[in-house]
Amino acid sequence: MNVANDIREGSEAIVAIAEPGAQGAFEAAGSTRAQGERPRSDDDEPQSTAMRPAKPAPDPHPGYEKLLALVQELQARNDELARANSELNSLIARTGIGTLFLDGELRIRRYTQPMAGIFDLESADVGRPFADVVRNADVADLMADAARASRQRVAVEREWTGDDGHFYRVHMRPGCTGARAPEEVALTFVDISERERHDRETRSLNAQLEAGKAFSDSIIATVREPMLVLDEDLRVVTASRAFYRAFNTSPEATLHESLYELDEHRWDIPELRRMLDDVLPERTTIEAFEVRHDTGDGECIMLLNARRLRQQPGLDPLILLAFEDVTERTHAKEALAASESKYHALFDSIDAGFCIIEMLYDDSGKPIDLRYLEVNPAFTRNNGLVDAVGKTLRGDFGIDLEQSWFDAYSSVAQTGESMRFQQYSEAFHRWFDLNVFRVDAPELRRVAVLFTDITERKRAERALTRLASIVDTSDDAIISKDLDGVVTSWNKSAEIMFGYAAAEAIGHSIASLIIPKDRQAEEDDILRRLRRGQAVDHFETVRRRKDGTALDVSVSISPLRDKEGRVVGASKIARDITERKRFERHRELLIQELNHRVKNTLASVQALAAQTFRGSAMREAVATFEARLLAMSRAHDVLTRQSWEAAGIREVVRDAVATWTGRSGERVQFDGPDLRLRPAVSLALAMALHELATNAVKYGALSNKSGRIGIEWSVSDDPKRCFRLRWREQGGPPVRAPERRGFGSRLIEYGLARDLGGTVELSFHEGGVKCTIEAPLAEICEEGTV
Amino acid sequence: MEDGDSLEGCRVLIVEDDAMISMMLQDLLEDMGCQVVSVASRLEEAQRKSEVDDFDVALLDVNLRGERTFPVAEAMQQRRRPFVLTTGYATTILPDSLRAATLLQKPYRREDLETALWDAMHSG
Repeated sequence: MNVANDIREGSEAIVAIAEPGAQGAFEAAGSTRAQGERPRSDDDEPQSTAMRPAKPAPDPHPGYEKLLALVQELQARNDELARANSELNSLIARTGIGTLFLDGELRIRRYTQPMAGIFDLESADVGRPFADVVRNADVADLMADAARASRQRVAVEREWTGDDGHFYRVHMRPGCTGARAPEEVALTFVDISERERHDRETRSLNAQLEAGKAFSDSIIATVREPMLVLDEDLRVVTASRAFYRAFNTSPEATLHESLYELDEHRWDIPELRRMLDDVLPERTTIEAFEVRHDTGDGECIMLLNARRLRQQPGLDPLILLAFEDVTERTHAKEALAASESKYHALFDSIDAGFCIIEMLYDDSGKPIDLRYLEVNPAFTRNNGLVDAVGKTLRGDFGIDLEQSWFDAYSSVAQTGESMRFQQYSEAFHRWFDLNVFRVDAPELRRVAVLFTDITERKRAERALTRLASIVDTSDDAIISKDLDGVVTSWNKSAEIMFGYAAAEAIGHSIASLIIPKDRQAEEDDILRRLRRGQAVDHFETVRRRKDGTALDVSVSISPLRDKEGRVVGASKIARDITERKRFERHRELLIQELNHRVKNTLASVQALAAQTFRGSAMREAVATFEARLLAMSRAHDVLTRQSWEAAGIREVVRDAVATWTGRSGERVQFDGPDLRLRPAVSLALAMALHELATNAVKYGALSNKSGRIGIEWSVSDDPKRCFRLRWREQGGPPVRAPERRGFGSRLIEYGLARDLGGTVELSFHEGGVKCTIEAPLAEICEEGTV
Repeated sequence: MEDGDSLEGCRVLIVEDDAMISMMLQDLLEDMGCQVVSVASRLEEAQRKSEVDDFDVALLDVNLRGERTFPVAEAMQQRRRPFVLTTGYATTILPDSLRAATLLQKPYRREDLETALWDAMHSG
């Protein structure tokens, strides 16, 4: 029964289904159509069916058997159909797909069970127009589409939201009756609520994603730094324009490539690999990772920032890699540091003092003091201030620097115009050379001062100026020359003396200018001595003027040395001694005339005496007189040879005893320091020695063959500087003191003593005559000629 | 030097402007056995007499009233006439041409005179 019911219901259902001729919608529909009332001859499209029913063959001669057979077959088919229908219905029921069949007038013909849930249908509603039945739902659009499917015989599909809030996909298919009248329409409702919601969510999510991606892409595109977005395999997903610019590459060469293969493995740096492969997965960020890299054009320094971007669950994480080229900045920083340290070293090592000072003002804006902010080591050497940093000059050091200095510094601080000046500071007692310039912001009123203590230099300059004026005004020619004899300086007197202007002389060989041909050897010798560093002291020579005339000069030459003490030239002072020479010649002439007169007078006196006593018995007396006269003459000779200035005592003694030593050989010995005697003293001494010698010849040591005379003189070391001369005779015959002092004795004892300003002691010892002459040295010697 | 014999009869020309010395010389020379043939006290006289007079040796004072007698001496040197220059000057006053001449410095002793005359007559 169940089965029969099923079949019945099923056959109804099948008919209802088969009538619209739903093509291919159900497998069974095809088979019902095959045995349907209106099999279409034109519908010969191959019907792929699971059941493969046999094709009905027309029988031109119907008979009983045939009929029976047909009935049986029909019965079999019905059974088969009922079974299929039943299977189909249960299938449809199981699918939960609601199907609604409407006729051409859109009246309800059939519906499956789910439809009742959708539209709240009842079986009584069959045959009623659907639009009348369903009032509570908006079905107008639905019906319009169903009408279109029915009339135009086209399949229409739309989505529709039910009152239950479910979302359906509605398929509307017309039947295939082939008639012109409106067809039956089957509407199937598939609940797509879940899918729709899911799709909506997906769309919305995608839209958000797209928006987010567009946003991040636009950020990445516009950031100044080169930036890469990498996937988990470190392949480039996005690159910023700055990246392409910075590394001179293109999207084609970059996108989807592995980071390490980019730009000829530019980034394939072991350190970077380690950071990205090992560190990043753990830490998620890497900041300011410095990569130094030789690009071939020089070192390139990059700071890399990397960040792992956590996406939605299920999406692969991305890595953001930002590059910052700090090459220039780093190099500039390094250069700055190097330059700063260089300048520091410079300021620490220069000899000049350096300080940065801050000007201090009173209420009226007048600069009144300064504070040292920075000083270098040479600072103290140049101005004597110790530990100056932070201290004020007036306030802390108590140095009342002249106002003009504060004004000058303040002017630099205010105007920014640097100043360079040299000035003496009474407060420091020093001369300074200063460079003042503003540093830091103008409102800070700070200036830097680079200064040098030039007190010594100023002193030297003044000395040099004085020296130069001395050289200029000197009557002596002052010339300097190098070791090749080339003139390097030539003063005014040299111009006057030699006739060459300085311009004519400087740069020329001194030999070619003023050395006479016959004195070239002398100049060569001078240069040789100078190279050995020897000075050449006052020597008299002859030089030549520009006009060729000779010039008597006294020359003194000293070597000139450089800082290291090497001889580099010579300075030569030449004095014109032509006048002196003339004077000397004149004086010599006068002395000669004087001598001539003296000698002639003596000769006259001699002749007078000879005439006076001629033929008399006083022959011996005349001889004594003549001897004395000749002794005086010889004493004069000594003076003449010395130009009447002074006579050497050795010469005086030698000449005085010459007459006798010539005869007595070595019997007269004399010894003592050579002293230069005053003319009167030398005459007196010569006459005294003559008398002593004459006496010795007549009565004393020289009167026999063995006697000796010793003459010794000396000067005491004590401050009195006493001159003492001893005459001592030995080995002569026994001496008898004379009964009466003769002229000779008196001459010695009184005359000599008076002339010498000293004492003379003459004693006639039996063993030999002794005479001791003592006098202050100053009395007998010319000043300074001892 | 032995006095006397070698100068015996020697004829001497004296050129001397100082009368006293001239007189003393005449006495000395005569004591020595010489014969004073002539005495000149002026330059031109000395020049003339040195050329014309007959003498063996001349005693020639270098300075005659401020005038040098070198030309006379040089002339005699040229003619190889012996002469002795007498002078109160130092030897340095002599010109180079007369450096070899015999010089007697005033004042002199009789022995010095004899030696000088003898030297002059026997040199050259």
